[in-house]
Amino acid sequence: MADSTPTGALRRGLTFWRRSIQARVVASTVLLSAVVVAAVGWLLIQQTQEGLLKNRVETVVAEAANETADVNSQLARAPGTDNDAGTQLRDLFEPIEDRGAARGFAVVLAGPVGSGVPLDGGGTRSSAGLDVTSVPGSLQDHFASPADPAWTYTQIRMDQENGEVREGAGIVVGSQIELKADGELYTLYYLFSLDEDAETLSLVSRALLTAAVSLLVLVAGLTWLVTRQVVTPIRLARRVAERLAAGELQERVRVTGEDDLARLATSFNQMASSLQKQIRQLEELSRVQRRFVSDVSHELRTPLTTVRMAGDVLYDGRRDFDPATSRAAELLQTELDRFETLLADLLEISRFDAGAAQLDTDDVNLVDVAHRVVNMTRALADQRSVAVLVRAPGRPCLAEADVRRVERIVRNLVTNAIDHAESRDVVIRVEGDESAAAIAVRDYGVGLAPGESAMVFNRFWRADPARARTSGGTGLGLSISLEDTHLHGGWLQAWGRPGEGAQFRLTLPRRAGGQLRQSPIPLVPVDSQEMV
Amino acid sequence: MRRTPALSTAIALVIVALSGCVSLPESGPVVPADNEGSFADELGSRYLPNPPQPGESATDIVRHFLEAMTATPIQTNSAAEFLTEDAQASWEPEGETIVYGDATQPKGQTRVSVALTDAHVLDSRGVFAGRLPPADRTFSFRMTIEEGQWRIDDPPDALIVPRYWTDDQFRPVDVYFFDPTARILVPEPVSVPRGEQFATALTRSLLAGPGPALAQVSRNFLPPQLTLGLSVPVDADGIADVALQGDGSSMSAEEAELAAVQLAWTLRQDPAIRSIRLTADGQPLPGQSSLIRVEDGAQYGPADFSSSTSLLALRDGRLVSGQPDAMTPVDGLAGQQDYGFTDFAVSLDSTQVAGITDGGTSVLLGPTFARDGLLDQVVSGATSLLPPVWDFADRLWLVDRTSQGAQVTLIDRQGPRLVDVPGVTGERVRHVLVSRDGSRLVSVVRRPGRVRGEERPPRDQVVTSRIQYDDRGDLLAVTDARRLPWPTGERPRIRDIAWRTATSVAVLYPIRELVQVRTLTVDGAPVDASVASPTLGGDYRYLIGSPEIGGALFAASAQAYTDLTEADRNPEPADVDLSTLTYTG
Repeated sequence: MADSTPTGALRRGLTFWRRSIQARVVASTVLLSAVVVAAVGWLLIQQTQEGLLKNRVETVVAEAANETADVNSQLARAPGTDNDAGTQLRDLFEPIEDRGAARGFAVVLAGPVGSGVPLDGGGTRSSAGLDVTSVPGSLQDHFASPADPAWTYTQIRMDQENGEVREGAGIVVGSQIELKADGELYTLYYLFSLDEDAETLSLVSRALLTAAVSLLVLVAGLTWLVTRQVVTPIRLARRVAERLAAGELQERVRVTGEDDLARLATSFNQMASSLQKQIRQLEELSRVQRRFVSDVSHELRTPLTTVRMAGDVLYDGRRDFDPATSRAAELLQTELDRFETLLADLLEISRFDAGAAQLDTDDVNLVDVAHRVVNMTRALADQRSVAVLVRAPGRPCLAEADVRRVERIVRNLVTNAIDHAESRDVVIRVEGDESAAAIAVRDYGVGLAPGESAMVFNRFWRADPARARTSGGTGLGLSISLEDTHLHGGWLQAWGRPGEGAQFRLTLPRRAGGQLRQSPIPLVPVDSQEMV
Repeated sequence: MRRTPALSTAIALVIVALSGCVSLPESGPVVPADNEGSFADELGSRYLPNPPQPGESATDIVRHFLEAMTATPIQTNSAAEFLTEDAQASWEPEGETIVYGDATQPKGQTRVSVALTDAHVLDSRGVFAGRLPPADRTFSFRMTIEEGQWRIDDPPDALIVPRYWTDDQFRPVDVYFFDPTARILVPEPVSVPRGEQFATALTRSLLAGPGPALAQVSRNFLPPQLTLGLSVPVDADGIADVALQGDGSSMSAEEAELAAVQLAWTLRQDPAIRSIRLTADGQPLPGQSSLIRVEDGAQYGPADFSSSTSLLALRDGRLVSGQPDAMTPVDGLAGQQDYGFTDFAVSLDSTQVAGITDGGTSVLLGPTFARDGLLDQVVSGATSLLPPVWDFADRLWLVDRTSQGAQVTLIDRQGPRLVDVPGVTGERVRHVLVSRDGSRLVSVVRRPGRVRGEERPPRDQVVTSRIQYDDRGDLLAVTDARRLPWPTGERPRIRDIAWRTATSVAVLYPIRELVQVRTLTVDGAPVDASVASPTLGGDYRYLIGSPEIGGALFAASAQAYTDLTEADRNPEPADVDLSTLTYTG
């Protein structure tokens, strides 16, 4: 659980990233700007560095050349009879060292050329504190024999007063002079520090970095502002659309200004109004239809009762009629039964449509329900030579439900199964757990074509319009069952496959109003080929 | 969503690249520097002597060693190659310079000897140190075989060079010190290398000071703790960089100023130098700006110390001044009144006049421009007074030729007194000059012409003495008179002498029917062959000259005078009314 928080944060962040167009636009703009700014900054710094170095190299090479010319001039003016090389070297070196200390360069005087002694091997004069190995070997090699002046970059190491060694980039320029006292060539190395240039460069870099960061912050802020202006109306429109979807058809987007977003809002509102109007019309139409059905049903009851009574009289006296009339009386009676059933179903449907259906809940054992329904439909089953089997666990499968409606649902399902069983067995499976109870009715008849499993609950739907309603169903049974199920907050689902039969499954929450998560019985039966 | 990692990687790469670029390079290839220094070698003839060749004989080695010392520009590396390694290490050719007229062919094997003729010595400062005595003129070189080759083992610590070479390579110049009262510069002649080394040599010579022998004659305000480093470079703007080593902060501002004046006067002889950057340990001397113009300190000049450039003369016994062809009476009584002067001298600032009267037996002294009053008679009863001489400190020098020989009298602020001048007092003195700086007394002394007991006509000698003062300007002593060597074998009778420069005198003497004017330097060094010695036809008796730089020099007779500084030297008719032409002093 320890890593759940970061993971959670990551998930929330990703969710935010997925959902916020504003965040994505701001982030990508900032990233792209950062790339551009970094590239430009790199170019600028590169140019600055090149310029600084070029300038510095020119300056120091010129300064070294001047110093060497100065030394040569001094040597030319030294008395020709001076033949003490040591003194002459000292007299030569000290002024350069002093000038170097004043002007910020260090000096190494080495030689004579050709002696083969390395710089740190003795006989070398150098400015105070300078580590003579600051002169790179490549340059020493260059001046191992008589050579023209040359320069290179190096790392200058100076001993500080506090005992530390200070290191820094530098330029070392070398040139050779001929000492008058002994006529030998000596090499002068001038070491110029690049500290000032490094400071300048870092100043420029810092300025550029500051500018870049400011620019990026500015870009981020601007992008955020711009996208906010665009996204906010869209978000408002989304919320309004969500409310519209939730049925609050009177919701509208508030329109301000005359820009594209305002026109979008206006169009959106027009669309909403149009939709609202059509939905109202459809609702009205539907209401009128239902009212019509309800009214017709009610209006038909009174004449039907009269016709029924007259039919009963005729049916009771049918033995006195000639066979043809007697048969007509029987037919009349049968059709009157169906008509009454149909009318009752229509009235039931009307009650659902009017929202007048009420639940009278109690703990119901679905196993009992199954057995009762089997008993109730035994006559029909026998008539169709169908065996209805109940497979139930040895314990009650309870659900808090309206027993009358549940029984009606199961009866509908069993009747429907017997209707389509084509003399094969019908199996009723009952299961239950702590959160739900289910009952599934399986037949092995013609089955359902693909797509039909969703349509079987439509009113007056039939798989084969040409087939007779042998069982006397009204075509509303499954619709009423579905309404009953919904009233319980349960599921009623159908599965079927041509040639393999069908299975209808009713799942009810254990407690009324409880949320269903899964059914104790799979929708697809275990004996279907799909499972195999 | 898939772009983000790619973008992040790109940005990370950019940042890494960026941070990589911000650091400056610490290594790289060796690049030739195309910017050569703007140092141009001096133009002029050059001579790089050959090094010793394998198999050279000992005598050849010595001959070529002497030859190698004449390298141009001056250097001793070539000569050192003829020495053994030990000798190379210990040889100090800067000790002195021996200049010879000619040298014999080297002789010998393990000891090779060379005899020099007409040799003299310049010390390390370039000061003439006298002729080489005959005993020292033969040099014997000990020869050793080193790595199969003859080499010299014991070279003398000197640069031994022929006269013709020094005439080309050395230049006679003066270094300037101060008199003991620090009021006027005292020049000392030296001979130093020409060319690029000139300024360095001058400065070194100046720093070395006048030497202990001249302790009471001249003072050096450049303290001995200051030394010169490698050299004195002169840049294209004519600025000589005299970077001295040592602490100059102990000098007072006055001393520093006088030191700067000495340096300015000394280095102004190099025409390339217009100003001097004088530092000691990198700091200007106390109270001095770091840049000194060579014209600075003109008031300390040894020859033109507040003196007039006009000629002075007597016309009808009255004092007149001006140019030879336009003389006007001076202001004051001396221009109005005939005091009966036979000779006279006007002080350098023209304020006082001293005149010889009464047939050379008395001296009148007084202000030149006084409009009333009489001149004081400061000397009377003398025998035969030579023309009086003033120096810058208004000291009047008188020489009376008594029967016991010359007597030198000095009249200064303490009054007249006799001065003993060894080599002059008691001699037959014909002429006497005192330098304007008061440091030199030049006399012409007539010696009996006796050679090895044989009587010959008497001959004249030019002798020079140095005059010593204390730091208040009071006379201490006058040194032994030193004879200035006469450049030719003959010993002429000298008619007159006059100052040519502050350190040289012109000498007028007859050669048969003609007269010649020859210049002698006061240190006795041979005069550069380039200095003209004009020969004139005519009975010239007098020389009228001034030591000022660019000053005139006239040879005069009773009827005519000739300007010797003019190229054509045409005699001009003299104003017969004029007598006793002279300059101040």
